Amino acid sequence: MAANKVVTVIGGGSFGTTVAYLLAANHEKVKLWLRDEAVINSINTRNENTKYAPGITLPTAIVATSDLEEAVAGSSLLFISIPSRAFRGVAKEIGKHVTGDQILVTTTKGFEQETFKSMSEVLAEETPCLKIGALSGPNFAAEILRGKPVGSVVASRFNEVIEKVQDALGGKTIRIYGNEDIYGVELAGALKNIYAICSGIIQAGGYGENAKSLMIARALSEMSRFAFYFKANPSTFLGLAGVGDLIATCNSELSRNFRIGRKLSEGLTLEEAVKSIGQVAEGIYTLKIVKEKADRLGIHMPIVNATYKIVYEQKSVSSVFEELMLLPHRKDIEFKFTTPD
Amino acid sequence: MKREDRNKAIELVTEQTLEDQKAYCRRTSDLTIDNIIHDTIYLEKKRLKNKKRTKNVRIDIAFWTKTEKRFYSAGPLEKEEILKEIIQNYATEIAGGYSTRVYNFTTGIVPYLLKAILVNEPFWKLFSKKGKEKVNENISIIGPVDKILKLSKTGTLIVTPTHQSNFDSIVIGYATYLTGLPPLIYGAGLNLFTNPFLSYMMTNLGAYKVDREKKNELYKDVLKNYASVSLEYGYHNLFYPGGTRSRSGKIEEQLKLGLLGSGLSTYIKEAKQGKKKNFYVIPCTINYELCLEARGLIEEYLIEEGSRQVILPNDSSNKIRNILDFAKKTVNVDSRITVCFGEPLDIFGNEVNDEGQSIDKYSRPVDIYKYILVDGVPDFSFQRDRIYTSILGNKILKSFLKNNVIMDTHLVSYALFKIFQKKYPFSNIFKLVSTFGAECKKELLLETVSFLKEILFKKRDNGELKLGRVISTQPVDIIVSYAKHQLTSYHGESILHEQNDSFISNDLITLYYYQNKLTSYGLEKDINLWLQTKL
Repeated sequence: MAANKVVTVIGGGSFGTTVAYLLAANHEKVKLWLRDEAVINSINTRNENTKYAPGITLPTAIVATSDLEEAVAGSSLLFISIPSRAFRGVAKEIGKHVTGDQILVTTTKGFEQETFKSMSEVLAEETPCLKIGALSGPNFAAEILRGKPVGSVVASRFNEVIEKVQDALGGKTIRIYGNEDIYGVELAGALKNIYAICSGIIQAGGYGENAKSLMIARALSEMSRFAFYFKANPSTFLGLAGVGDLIATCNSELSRNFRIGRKLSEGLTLEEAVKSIGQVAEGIYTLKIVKEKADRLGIHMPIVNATYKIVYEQKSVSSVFEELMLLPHRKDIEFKFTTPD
Repeated sequence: MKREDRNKAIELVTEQTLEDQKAYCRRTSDLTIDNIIHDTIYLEKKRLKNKKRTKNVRIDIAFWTKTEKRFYSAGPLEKEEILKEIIQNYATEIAGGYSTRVYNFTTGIVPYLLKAILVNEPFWKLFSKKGKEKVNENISIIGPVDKILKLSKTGTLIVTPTHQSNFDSIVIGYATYLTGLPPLIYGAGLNLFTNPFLSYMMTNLGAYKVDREKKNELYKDVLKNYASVSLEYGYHNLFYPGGTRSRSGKIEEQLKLGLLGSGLSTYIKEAKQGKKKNFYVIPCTINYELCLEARGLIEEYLIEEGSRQVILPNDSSNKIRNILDFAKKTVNVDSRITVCFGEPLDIFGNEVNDEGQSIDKYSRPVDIYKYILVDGVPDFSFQRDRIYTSILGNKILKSFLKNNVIMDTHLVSYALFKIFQKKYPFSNIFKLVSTFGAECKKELLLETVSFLKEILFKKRDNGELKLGRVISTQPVDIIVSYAKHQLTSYHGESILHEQNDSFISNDLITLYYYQNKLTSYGLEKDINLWLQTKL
């Protein structure tokens, strides 16, 4: 059991609940902050998050609360699982209660639409905390909650953050890897959602496995190209947060973004597709901001462009994919990784 | 450092550095005291090998030869003694010879010497009231000076300016004098002490010696500990976080964190002893309409960028003749300098309020003591503290950008250079700067300056940068003619002259230097698009 016995998760959605579930294996008390009083009640009385993890019995160590000050007090480690659109508002509130010795770890895979800032950057701006990390990787909540093995990556400039998260979360069903490239890890986690939408479109359109593999491999090139521009380390994209998450999210019905893509391909409008999923799919927001950013900076991202045309311009899938296939030929590998002497 | 503190400080620096070396050896399994001594002797002998045999060099060679001989026959205890002697030797060299009496005398004289250099008045008039007004016209000091003054009474200041010229220390010294800020002690390059004029002023304004040729880690540790000890003693410090002068004329984009971290290490050291001392970091930009060393610096930059590592032996500010030449020229030029202090920060990069309390962006108080706790008690953590210092460094860089004062010479050089880049599409910058007779229509320059001025005004209003008086108050034609007058008065007609309805430049290298002050603001895309419609 980790040295600090109390930890906190801010956000009681499906992933927040999952993180709390994992933490409960290593801590005496896990405080889970959320706003929905009915869900709080169901967690505290029936050990179940009826809204986001129905049918899963949560450990009794998890105590839900809507009192942010109480949730934050006394925890040396806090995980923040709030959708990107609401993230800054909650971070600002957290900032009122935390102190500089507390560690904050974001699990949100998205960027702030107005500023293109990562969630860790938002935390750094809105709170006095400096020791900040980001958790990412192929982590479907539904699988984790059923005890299936999983790997995650925690990124931080501070070794202490990496070590504390490894101690707090690691266990017989989860391996936690460390990475210093926090921006690269966050970028990978956000960008892959765009390609999950595209993969869903390919799947439902019956374009086949070859097409999907082509898209995934080229997506990796696009992501690395984008990351390189923002001074992230392209090799981060070869790890769990990059290729690991990309493979999972582009192939699974458990991915909300994948399902959005599938529903769009089946002829639903974006609004209908979002409504049918019933939960936030970060990819649709990320797609918009990455498209704008890439256009403005002149970064070549044909898959992002194609997905944007389908999602936001209602262009037909077949015509957009045909355009993609007829683009000029390019080299397969863009980045060369040299080995040290 | 005061004479009464100096010897004790050398002793403390020696003890602390020796302890640090032993700690490194404990932390790193394959590092021994033998390695540290051997590496230091090797690097020192290498450094001295090709140096001109001056008196000081001969003394150094004798010291290292003797030390090496002792080292090879010494036992473990004597080796520790040898290491201590090396450290003590460095600490003694670094410690400055400040004395209150001489400081007071020097600060009395320096203003007049500066006026002689910077003001367009005959020397005898400088002592008059009018002369004083003139110097105030030519040196502007902006920023939260009253707040800094207040903070200097409750804590220790670490002033971190941009570094463009060897005159920076003198200008800062003068600015602190004008504003009533307390004296600052600072590390100055050893090369400045070879010039008697600068050396005299440097030493007596509180400078300690930094020999940038000494690349060994031991020396850097001694230097850092000297700064820490001076902070412990409550001396307000000045560090150039960029390390050396900006060769390119650009505002600093990267900082050297070694010395910068001494504030944090002193804070932790004091906290471990139950003391809570306040340290305030004051970012500051020093902005010259004209720079004494512009041509020499940009040449060095171009050589470095061109992958030929050459150190130019003749630094233009080292020769008294060049300084007098500069003074003579600037007397006729009436050049302007702006010192812009940024918002004070704590050692973690948070802003502080008037009372010295660290605050977040909503002015909520931040308890910085919490940052240094390890299992509930204050302690060092090598990796954590390195990142903290890097966070502080980033905040300083942001402050530099915001408080960078763009002057007429920079704006006009930028406009001209962009026009030339568009008009003469060379494959690289090295070919472009070698161009002679680059020509630009006057009308196009005026239009381009006008276009850029509008963007810069918006950026200024957004708090992204600051603008000099001429740009802020004068119409475009005056800005251009004034900048041309300034540049040609100091750098000669080759930088810019008029011919019919055109401007001609035969010195794009120097123009490149001045224009670089504007390259960190993402103007390139807009100006290039605009010029596409014009050329």
